[in-house]
Amino acid sequence: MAVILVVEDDVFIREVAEMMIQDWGHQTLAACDVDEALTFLRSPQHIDALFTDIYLKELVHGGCDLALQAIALRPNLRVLYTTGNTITDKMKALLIEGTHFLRKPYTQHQLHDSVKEMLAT
Amino acid sequence: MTLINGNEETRIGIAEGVDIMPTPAEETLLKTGALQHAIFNSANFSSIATDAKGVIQIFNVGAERMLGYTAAEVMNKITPADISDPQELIARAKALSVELATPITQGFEALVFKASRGIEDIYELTYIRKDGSRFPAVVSVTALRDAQNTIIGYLLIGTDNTARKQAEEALLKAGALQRAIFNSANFSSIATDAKGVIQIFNVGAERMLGYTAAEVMNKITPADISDSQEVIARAKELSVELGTPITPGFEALVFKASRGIEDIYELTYIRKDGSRFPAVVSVTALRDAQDAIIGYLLIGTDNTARKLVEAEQKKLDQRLRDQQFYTRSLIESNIDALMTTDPYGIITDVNKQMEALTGCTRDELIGAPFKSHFTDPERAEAGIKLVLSEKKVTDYELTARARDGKETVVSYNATTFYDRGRTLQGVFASARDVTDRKQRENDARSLTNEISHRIKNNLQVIVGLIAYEAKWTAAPCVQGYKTMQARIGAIAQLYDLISQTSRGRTVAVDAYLREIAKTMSASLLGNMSSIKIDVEAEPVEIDPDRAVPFGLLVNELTTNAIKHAFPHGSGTITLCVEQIGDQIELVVSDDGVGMKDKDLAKSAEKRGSNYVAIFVRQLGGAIVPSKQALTGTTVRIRLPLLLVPSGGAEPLAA
Repeated sequence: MAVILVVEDDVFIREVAEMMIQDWGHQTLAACDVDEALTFLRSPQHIDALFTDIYLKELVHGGCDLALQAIALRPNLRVLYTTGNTITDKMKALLIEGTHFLRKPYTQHQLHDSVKEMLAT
Repeated sequence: MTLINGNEETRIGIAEGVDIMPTPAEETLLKTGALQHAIFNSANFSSIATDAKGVIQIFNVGAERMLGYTAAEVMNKITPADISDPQELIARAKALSVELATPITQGFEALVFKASRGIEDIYELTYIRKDGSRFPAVVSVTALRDAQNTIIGYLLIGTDNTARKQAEEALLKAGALQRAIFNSANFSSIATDAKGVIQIFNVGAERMLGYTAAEVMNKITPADISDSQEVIARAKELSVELGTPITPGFEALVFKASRGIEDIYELTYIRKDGSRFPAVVSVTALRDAQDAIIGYLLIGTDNTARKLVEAEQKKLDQRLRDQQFYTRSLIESNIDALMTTDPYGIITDVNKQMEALTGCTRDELIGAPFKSHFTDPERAEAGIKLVLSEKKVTDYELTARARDGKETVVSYNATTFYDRGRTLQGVFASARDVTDRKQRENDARSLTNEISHRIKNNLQVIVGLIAYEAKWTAAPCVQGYKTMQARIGAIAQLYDLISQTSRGRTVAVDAYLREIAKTMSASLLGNMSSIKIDVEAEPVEIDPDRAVPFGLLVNELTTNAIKHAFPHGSGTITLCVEQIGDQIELVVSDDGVGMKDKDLAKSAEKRGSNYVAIFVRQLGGAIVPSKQALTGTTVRIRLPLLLVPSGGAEPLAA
C-alpha cells in the first residue's frame, strides 16, 4: 500500500478523492495548496506519490510548479496531475515526463485506474 | 632650243659652256633658267611635254609621283588626254567650241587648243592616276615652237590642287556658316568697338530686340539694352571672382572676353518696347593684327523657349515632388508599420511606425534583413517566402523586438509588388500592433480557464457526491449511479469542446465521438472490460448548439448497449457517423444478444430511457427503422444537416 499526497484546494473534492483512495487500501496526506504540500514533501514523511490539481487557488499552473519542486526534493516520487481545464501546449510543456494525468470530472473508476497505473510505474 | 629628258640638264635658251661674266641680260636669263630648272625637276610639279600631236615625250619625276606612272609607261604611247577626266574633256571641248566659235574635238585638242592659238591657258583639270584614283590639278599649258614659230609640241605643267581644294571647301563651309550665323534671324550678332559702342547690329538682333540697326549703331552699348540689375550683379560677382573691381556697365559684359577667357552667360535683354527676354550670350574680343582689342562680338540666342521648358519642367518636378509628398504622407500617416523588402527579404523602405516598432532609424533598417527584427527570425523569413510563393499572406503573427528589447506582437498582411514590366520587385508588408488584441485574447482565455476550472470542480463535486452515494447503495442500483456519472462526464467533455469554439465555428463530430467513446470506456467499462467501443466516423461537423443533445444521445445509446447487449461481458459497440445528402446519420450498433421486439423506436425508448426520444426530437431528427440481424442491435438515427459541409470550416477537435 502506498502513501499518496492529495493536493486539492476544494475541500469536498479532496476529501471524496481521499475517501476513494483510502478505500483501495492506501494512506493519504492532504494539502490545500503548494506551501502545505511542500511542507510534507520537505518533511521526513514517507510519500510514494503526489496527486495534485493543476489549478491551485489563484495559481493557474500551481500543480505543475509543485510537481517540479517535489521531484527536485524526491526524485523517485510518482506524480498524477488532474485539471478541469483544457490542456494547452504551454501546460503540456510544464508536465514532467513519465507522469500521469486525469481529467476532471473523474469517476471513482477512472481515479482507481489512474492511481493503479501510476503506482505500477 | 633643245629639250632634254628631265634627268639631264635642261637648257632652254641658254648657251652651253659660257664661263665669262654674264651681262645683266644674261644674268636675268640665268636666273630664269634656274627657276625653270627647279620647276621642271621639282617633285611638286608634274611637267609633261608632248609632240605636236600630243604624244607624251617627257614625263618628269613630279608627273611620275603625282600620276603613279613611270615615264617609260607613257612616253611615246599616250597623250595627256588619256590621263584626264573624259567628262571634263568633253565639257571643256564644248565650252571652248562656244567661246572660240570653232569646233574643238573632245581629246588632246581640248587641252591645248587655247595654247595653240597663243592664248595663255591655265585651268583646272582632274588627272586620273594609274591606280584609277583622281586628283584635281591646276594645269598651265604652253605651246613649244621652233625657230619658225611652228608648234612642235606642248608643255603641260601641273600642280596637285587637292590641298587647296580642301582648304577652299573648308573656307567656303566656314564662311557660309559664319555668314549664316551672322545673317540669321535666330542669332543676335552685335559687334562693338573697343569701348562698347555698337557698330554692327544684325537682322537677328533687330528681330529680337525690336531696334533697327540705325537706332543703335554708334549710339549705345549692349549694356544699355541689358537688365541693369543683372549687369550690376554680374559686375559684383566678377569683381569677387577675378579679384579686381569691375564697373557695372559694358565692362561687366565683356571683361572676361577681354582677358581671353571664353565667356558664355545668361543675360536678360530689354527690347525697344520694354519687354524682356532671356538670352544666352557668347562674347568674343575682336583683335587686330597686333592682337590689340578693336571691339567685341556678342552673339546671343533667345532663351525664352528653353526657359519656358525649364519653367514647365520645374512645375512638373514640383508636381512630382508634391505627389511624392502626398504618397509619402499617406504611408507615414498609416497607423500600421509599413515596409518593403526585396525578394531576398532585405528591407528597402520603411515608414515611421516601422522605426518605432523596431527602435531603429530608417537608415539602419534599409539594407538590413527583415527577419533580424523579430523574436523568431526563422518564422519571419518563412513569412517572406510564403508571400513570394502565395503572392499574399494575411494575419501572419510575428513578435517584433525593438532595439531596447521591447516586444510587440504584430499581425502582418503582405503582398508581392511588381514594376511596370511585371518584374517582381519584392514584398510590401504592413504590420499592425495586435498587442491589445492579444491581451484581450489572453484575458478571455484566462476567464475561460477560470470558469472551466469552476464548472469542472462543480461537476467533480456532483460526481463525487454520486460516488459517495454509490458507496452505500445496494449493488443493483450502482449501475444507475455509474450511468449518471457517465452522463456528467459526457457533458463535461462537451463543455471542453464547445468552450474551444468561437462564434460561428463548428464541432468535429468524429473527434467528439472518439472522446465520448474513450470516456465511456474508462468510466463504465474500465481497463479490464472485454467490451470495446469502436468509432467509424466521417469528418462531419455539427453546430455547437446541437452538440450537447447529440453527445447525450450517443451517451444514452452506448450506455443502453453496455447495459443490455452483453450479458456475458464481451462484445463490440460501434459508433458510426456519416453524411447522407443533407442529413447526418448516426448509427450505434453492437454485436450483442440482439432485441426480441421488432419495434425499434419503442425498443430504444424501452431499453434505455425516454432520453433517446427526447434528444432525437431536440435534434429535429428521427429514428430510422432498420432490419435487424440475427445477433446484435442497430439503432439508426437521421438528423437534418443544418451544418457546414465537411471541409468548410476548421474543425475544433482533430
